[in-house]
Amino acid sequence: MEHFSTLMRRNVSRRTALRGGLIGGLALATLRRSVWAAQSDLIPEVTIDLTAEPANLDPATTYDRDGWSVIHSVYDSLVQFGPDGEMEPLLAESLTWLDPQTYEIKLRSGLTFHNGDPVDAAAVAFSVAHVRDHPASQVAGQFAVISDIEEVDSLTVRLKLSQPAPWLPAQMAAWLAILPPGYATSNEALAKPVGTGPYRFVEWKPGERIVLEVNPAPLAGSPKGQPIAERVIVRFVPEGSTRVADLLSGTSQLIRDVPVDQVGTVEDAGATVVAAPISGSAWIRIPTDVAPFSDVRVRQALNYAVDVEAIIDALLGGNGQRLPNIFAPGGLGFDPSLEPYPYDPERAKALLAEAGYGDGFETALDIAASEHQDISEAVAGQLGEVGVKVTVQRQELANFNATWTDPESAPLRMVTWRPLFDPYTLLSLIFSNQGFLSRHNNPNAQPLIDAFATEVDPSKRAEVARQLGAVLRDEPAAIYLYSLTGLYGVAANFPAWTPRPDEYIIPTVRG
Amino acid sequence: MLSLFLTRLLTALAVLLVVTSLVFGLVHLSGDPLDALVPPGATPEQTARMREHYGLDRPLAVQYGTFLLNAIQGDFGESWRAQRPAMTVVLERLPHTLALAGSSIVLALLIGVPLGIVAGTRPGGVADAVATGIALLGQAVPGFWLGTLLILLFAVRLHWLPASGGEGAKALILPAATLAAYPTATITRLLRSALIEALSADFIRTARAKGLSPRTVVRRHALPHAVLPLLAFVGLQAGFLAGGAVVVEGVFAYPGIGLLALQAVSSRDIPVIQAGVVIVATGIILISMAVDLLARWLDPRLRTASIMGLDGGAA
Repeated sequence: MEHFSTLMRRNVSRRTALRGGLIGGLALATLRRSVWAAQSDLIPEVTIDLTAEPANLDPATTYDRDGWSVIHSVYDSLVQFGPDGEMEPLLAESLTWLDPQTYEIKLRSGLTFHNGDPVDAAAVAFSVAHVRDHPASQVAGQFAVISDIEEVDSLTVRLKLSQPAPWLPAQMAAWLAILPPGYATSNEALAKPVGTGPYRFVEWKPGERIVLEVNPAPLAGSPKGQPIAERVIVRFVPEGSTRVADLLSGTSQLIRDVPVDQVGTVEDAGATVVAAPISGSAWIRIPTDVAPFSDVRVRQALNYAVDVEAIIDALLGGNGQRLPNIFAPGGLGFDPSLEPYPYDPERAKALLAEAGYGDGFETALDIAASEHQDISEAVAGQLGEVGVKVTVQRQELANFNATWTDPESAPLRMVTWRPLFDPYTLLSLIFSNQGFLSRHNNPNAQPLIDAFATEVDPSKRAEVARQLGAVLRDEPAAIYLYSLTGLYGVAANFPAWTPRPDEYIIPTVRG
Repeated sequence: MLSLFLTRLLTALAVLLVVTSLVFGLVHLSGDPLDALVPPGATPEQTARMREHYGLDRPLAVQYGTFLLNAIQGDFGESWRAQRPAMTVVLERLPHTLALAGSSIVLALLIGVPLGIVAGTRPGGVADAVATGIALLGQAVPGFWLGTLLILLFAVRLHWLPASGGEGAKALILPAATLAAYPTATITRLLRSALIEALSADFIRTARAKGLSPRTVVRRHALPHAVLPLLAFVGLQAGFLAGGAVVVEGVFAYPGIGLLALQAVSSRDIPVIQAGVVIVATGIILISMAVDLLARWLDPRLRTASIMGLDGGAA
């Protein structure tokens, strides 16, 4: 454990060093644009190992962080979330609520797509309709609230909503990319996407790589930052140790998801492991609709019984912080003054006895095959110490997602959820009593969940989220674990680069 | 010979039909395909719209009939993931897998045959012990572990070969070597026992009595005896290689059908699963037929039987 905490300090110091590099790089940014033709500060080529090959590059039908890493490199959204969770206009110049059900978007003027088409109101209207109406859209649900799209003038669009949806901008940041309408409906569009992003699409060799080249006229002052390389090669390497081998053998200069047990190997070889916070949280859902979990004392006991700090140190290399509820640092609802549950097995046993489960009980915990099983096993082991015997069951992802509310499935389920800049989706699906994935019903939390979904005043909404966080802490809806961290392997000669809290890898650097 | 060929062809088509139906049945038995398609928490409207879009709202019998009619014409529909024709998605990976499987079987023969000869001609000796030891190791070591070790040595330490990818012949070496381990071991052991058996036969004693050199005895008289089981084994390897490729291609991020199949299964991309299985099954059937016909040509005694067991032997 000592080893891991040393490692963590080292990571932090390297991260600080990297940020220093970023600031240095950004000081040149203005200068850079004026002498762009020379492009002297761009390195010629970077190779990046992602974990999975994108399904495709249509923003409507791709729903994973690797696909969206490429999409956000080639396309831009109207807005995005910055490193501290604040909303930043991107293609939009301003976004305004005219009333709780009318959202007005004004675009920056003079922007063009990679093929020269103008970025205008028609493009926004087309792109919104595309994600909302595409029959195979993965995000149709998030945009279904938009009932009407009105082009006010060439740079202004008004979205009419069927109900107040203060969470809509967060959905747009994550899932809406602006496409050129004429080109996007052509036969070529899927094979050769055209956007406004920092990189232009060059080619995709299925199974092998996607090649991008720098946009010679990237959006000035884009909150995404400025490109770092003239050419980007994106590879897809599912096996963690193979990605590390790629990094150490010089094939790739940036890799995703360094396995925790290989952090030392990477650093000993002279590469860097960058530990960057992700806007997301890990927890184990506890239902409230079935005994013994319907008793709040049992849910509290489970939280006291788990030594989350030990798990963070032993299994996550010290990366992550123990959380008092489901909300993530930097996102709405996170309250740094709220204390997480301490590890107190005696208190857990006492609460179980009080609730009438002094002899413990047996239960099951479902985990999706895509998650790391060691965390669940550790939690199960610690719950065993207070008499709660837990069987961990690994499930195929599709089956896991299909059985959220199945009363026959395991009551406990391990979840990692991201992004959490705006936790609306999570709350409405899993913790609202109306949620499609919900086995949670708490009369003290429900009014706050409802208010959070509709309150349009940002400061009131933040306060609602904070209050909800306190209720969820005291009357747990889950065993609260830790905040998520991305571990990136970076070659020694890699230029300054900014990891993002939304976990998308975009080869840019920002200040 | 022609009627034999036609019978084989018909049998092969029947096998393909069974395989295709089996795959269709299995993917639908494994759960609602939509579970993997819709994002968690999709609205009922969204789910219904997607079900209709992919034609999953029709009765299963209708889905099967349409699937079969289109499949006969080579149309497996659009990949649900890639949004492109499933057959294209599979076929663009085929050359990679053919190169991988082909080179690993050649590698297995290049190493396994000499080892088998050494072990089989001097059973009980040091050379036999070494060869059998290597064979045992090759058979026992799991592919993902061997692959990782090879990566550590040849990519990380020596920087000779890439750890992953599918570009160029260099990228083929490590995955092919990993995939070859098991068949190499089996070829060694197979050849060893066939040679030991042959070398104790009467005709070998006769050959030796004629004064032939030990080398000629092995090459001209004992080895031909061992070729048929070897051929049958190589034919059977087609299936093993297709299965092994799933693991090996995953470890080396090699862009073949194995890795594609893994993605397709985990995301229940049914058109790609079906197209992939049909392509792999066709490949295996073709190889089996070729091996069978070759065996008959090599050994007249076989002309009334099959070494691959594909039929009852209609000659």
